[in-house]
Amino acid sequence: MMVVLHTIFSGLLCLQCISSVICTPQKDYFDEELLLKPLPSGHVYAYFQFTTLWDVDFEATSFQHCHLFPRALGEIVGRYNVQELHISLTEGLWRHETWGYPVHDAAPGAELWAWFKESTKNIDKTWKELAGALSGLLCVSFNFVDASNSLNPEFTFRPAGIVSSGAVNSSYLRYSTLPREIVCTENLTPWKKLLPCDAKKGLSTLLNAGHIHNTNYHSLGLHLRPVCRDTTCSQMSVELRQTVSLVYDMVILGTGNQDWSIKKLFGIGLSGACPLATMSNIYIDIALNETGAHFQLTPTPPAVITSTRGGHKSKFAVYDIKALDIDGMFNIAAVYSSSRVYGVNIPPVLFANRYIIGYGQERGGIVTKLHNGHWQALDVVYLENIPWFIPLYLHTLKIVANGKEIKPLLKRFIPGKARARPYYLEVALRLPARSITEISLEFDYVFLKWQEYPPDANHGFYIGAAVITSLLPVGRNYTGLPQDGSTITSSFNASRDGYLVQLRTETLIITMPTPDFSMPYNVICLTCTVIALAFGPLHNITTKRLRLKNKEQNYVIRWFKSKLTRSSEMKEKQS
Amino acid sequence: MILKEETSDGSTKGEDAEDNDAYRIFAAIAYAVVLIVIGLPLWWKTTDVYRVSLPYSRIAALDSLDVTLGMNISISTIDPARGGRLVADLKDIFKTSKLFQLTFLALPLEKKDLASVHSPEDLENASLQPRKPGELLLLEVPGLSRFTANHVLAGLKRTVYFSSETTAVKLSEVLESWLLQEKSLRQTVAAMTAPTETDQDRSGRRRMPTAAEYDIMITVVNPEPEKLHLNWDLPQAVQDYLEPLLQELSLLAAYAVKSQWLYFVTLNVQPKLVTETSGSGYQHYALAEDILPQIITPLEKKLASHVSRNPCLNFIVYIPPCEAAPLHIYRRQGMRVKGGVDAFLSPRWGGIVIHNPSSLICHNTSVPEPKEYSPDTAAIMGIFLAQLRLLMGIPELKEISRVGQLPLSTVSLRQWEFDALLRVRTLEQLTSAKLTLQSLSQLLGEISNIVINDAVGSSIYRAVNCVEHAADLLKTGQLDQAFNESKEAFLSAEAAFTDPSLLALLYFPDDQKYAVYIPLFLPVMIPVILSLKSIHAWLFGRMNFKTKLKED
Repeated sequence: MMVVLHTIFSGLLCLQCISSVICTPQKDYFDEELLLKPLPSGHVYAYFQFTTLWDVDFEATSFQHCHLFPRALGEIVGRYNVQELHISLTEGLWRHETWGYPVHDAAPGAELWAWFKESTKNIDKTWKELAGALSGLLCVSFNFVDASNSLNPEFTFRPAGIVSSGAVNSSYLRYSTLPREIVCTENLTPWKKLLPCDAKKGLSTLLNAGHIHNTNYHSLGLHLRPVCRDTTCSQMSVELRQTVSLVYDMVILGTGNQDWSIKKLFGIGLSGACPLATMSNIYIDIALNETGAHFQLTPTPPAVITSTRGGHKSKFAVYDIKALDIDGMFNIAAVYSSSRVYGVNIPPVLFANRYIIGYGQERGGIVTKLHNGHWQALDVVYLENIPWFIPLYLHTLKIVANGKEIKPLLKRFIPGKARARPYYLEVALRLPARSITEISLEFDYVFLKWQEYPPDANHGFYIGAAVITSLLPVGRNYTGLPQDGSTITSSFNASRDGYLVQLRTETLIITMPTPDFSMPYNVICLTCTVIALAFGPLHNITTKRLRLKNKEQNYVIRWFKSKLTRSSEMKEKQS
Repeated sequence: MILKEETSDGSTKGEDAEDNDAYRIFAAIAYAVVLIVIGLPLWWKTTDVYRVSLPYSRIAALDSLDVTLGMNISISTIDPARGGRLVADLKDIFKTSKLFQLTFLALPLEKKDLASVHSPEDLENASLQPRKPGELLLLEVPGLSRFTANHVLAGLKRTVYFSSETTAVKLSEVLESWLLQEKSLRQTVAAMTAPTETDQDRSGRRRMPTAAEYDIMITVVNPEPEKLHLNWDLPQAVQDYLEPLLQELSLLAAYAVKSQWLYFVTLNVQPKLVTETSGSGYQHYALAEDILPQIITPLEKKLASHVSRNPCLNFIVYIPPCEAAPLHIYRRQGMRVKGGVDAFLSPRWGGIVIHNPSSLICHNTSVPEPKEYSPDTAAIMGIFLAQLRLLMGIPELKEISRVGQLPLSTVSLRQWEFDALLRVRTLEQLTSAKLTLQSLSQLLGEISNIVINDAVGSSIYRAVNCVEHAADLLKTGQLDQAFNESKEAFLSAEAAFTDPSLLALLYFPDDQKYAVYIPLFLPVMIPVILSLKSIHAWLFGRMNFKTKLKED
């Protein structure tokens, strides 16, 4: 029911306030970018990044008044004392060997890690509540995240943003994956709602569910961290990066040739930039144009940037959407000179594979193969996150490089505890130059309590991806952003001492011994019957004795008998 | 069938048989002891639903709980005789009140007290103002006509000023419909206890439900940011305008104020273009009153919180783009709203203000797009304040001829308004706590599977104590303490009723229990119970035998 307001409010105004209202513009900026990279394998990698930078102190009270920053997320971050938050929701597996490195690596399924502020009291509880709130925000099953499937790895994860104190204390970190999570439209829609332009204007209009979910790989990301406001770093800003990574297979799109265009990939042209964005750019990696199949871009790019990074040269065509005078729909098309030519695949320096070994349902093993193609030795950190129901044995850990066993530089192992914590193994290794290193571990198959089996238990149980972290000395195949940068632009000509990569391996699925679930009820019924049947005779034998009967009968039987005889007599009489 | 033999023949064979019989009987006794003496209580104890003993009789007695509001009203007049007469008249008028127990006191007033008074504001600052919440002072000001045309003037604190010619009837009318609002209070309670019979009154329907904390969310909607850029410091405006009122209301509940900006959110309704026929040809867009409810739905999806469980008051400023401005709300009769305020209130939800950008900016073609515009903070926040007062439960007062009130200038809430609000909330919370406790006790009687653990039990006890205590405090006129007690009662009762531990065993229905117990217990218990008969016969026989032996 609506009531139109009649009240005149003139009496309510407080005069002393008016002088203090001075208009200050909100200090927040929004950038939208799209990177398109044709891969040598004939796939096209599309990476969207929406960056919101907000010049505000990273405090709970700051998040009460939001402008471009999504309020729904701000409330959660403020309430749960979050220092840094990373979420990725992924379907499919990123193939490092053929596709190189993505900007953000993500494990198949859902992955969540967060750093809490040092003032947080009960981190395990806050972590569970945070995951619960995020599951509501993004429609993900993060409500299943708790201490029993969370780790706080010591070496693999460092805060990506600025930290107040020098020493990193990993007890404020929580990391969890849900490898079984299936990512779909119901995650994309709430994710898009966090953007200031929603999906109404700008690059986000290209994100149509129908054209995203037919890709080989798609990954939604949300990365929040505090960053420096300026070069002196005396003040903090809040940075929120929302990312979408897509890998299109042109064969699946079924056009018979290798040509691609924005309209073909996303099903729609671009109608313009988001009016709230300070920067709205599309970058197309045209390095492959020179080494692999030759293609022509239409319209001709207004600018071409050459970027040298870690000794690796690449070229980008840049379209500034804001500067373009778009009338109607804007489209960028790549037309290849020949129908289908694949480039030579130069695999990246470091990549990994993982698989299960063993047979039967007794003993199993996990083998992870790390490929180091560099001419030098590489230091890597290997993080294994094994659920508690897969008992792992540290003494079976074997690291073999090119047929020779090597000793790890560092080992951290916390055995899992049933229903309380997962198995945590972190190993620092030096991979010899041009080597394949095998890390193998053995585990047992166990029975679970019957209520702990998921629905469709015969489908199998997932083991989350291992994370391999390394600082690469060369920038080949590397697309990641530098730590001091926020946008894709900042990755051009950003040569640094090392390039941080975090590879996620395949997730594994194992079949656990699965009982017949109707068994408990059958057992109850059967035992009850057996006990009841056995008890009667036992009781009789122990408390009674067979004895000759007295002629004198029980009066009840006598009464029955007399009745019977009387009725039979009556019948006889009648007959 | 076993028949007990008489064992009094005394032969050796008989003795042997008697020994054997004794063993068997001991075995039977052992079975009976294990199963009936140990087993049954053990089973009862282990499968019993844990339930703390609760004050059922006290909860039932809450029905007849006497809730009356005691209140002191002082009447100050220059002429003590007139004061006495007013007291007697008012006492007579309010004698029939079912809810209030008013105590009228005549206070002598010195002429010099009013000597230095030159304006109503001076009266406000006089020292005779009652301090205690819930009290009232009716003060005769002989020359009230110097300041106002009204005969009665309600002050900003707990005082009502009246002129010398005011009658007791007039005063009672002011007390009844402005300061005490008894009718509204009674209707509130009646509507809560019997919702099918009585409806809430207008103010009760608008008022937010009681809670310990409220969220207040201000949302600015700018549908076309590429055409209009708003230059507005929203956090500062909220701080300046809403905080003072919330500060004054902070005794009632806690408040969390949030704000956000929404872009590209449209109203989803098509306003009609209207050209004024009378001369000026002023063109504007009209939004009919009937379609206002449709505006809220598209906004709703951006207003939810994933963290807070408090009820949220939504305040929305919609700033139409220049092409669709000015946009006005039209009433059903085809007229614009009185006073030209384009705003509406949705009861228990919040308010929406349509703020049109100034035509100076819109029609100035020399300004490039996006056009900069600074909204009128005072106008928007003023409407929000008025709406917030209604939503928090401060009603619009019925007009009474020649009765006025001092305008709000230095404060945003009159103290007597706050007292009236305290009264409504106290009664609301008391009634709600009472009803919650009663339905809980009824539910416990009907469903035997509900667990009541110690924590829930103690919050039920606390709620009952607080309800009783609050009623006592109300009777003695300690309004603020009564309010706190009733709030505690309300929160405890709600916490007890909604505690998840209540449902722990609810999924385990009785028929399932019997499905397991009967196949096991029935075949086991029948032989044991039947054996009781032979045990009894044997014991009885032995006793007879022994007594016989003694007699022999």
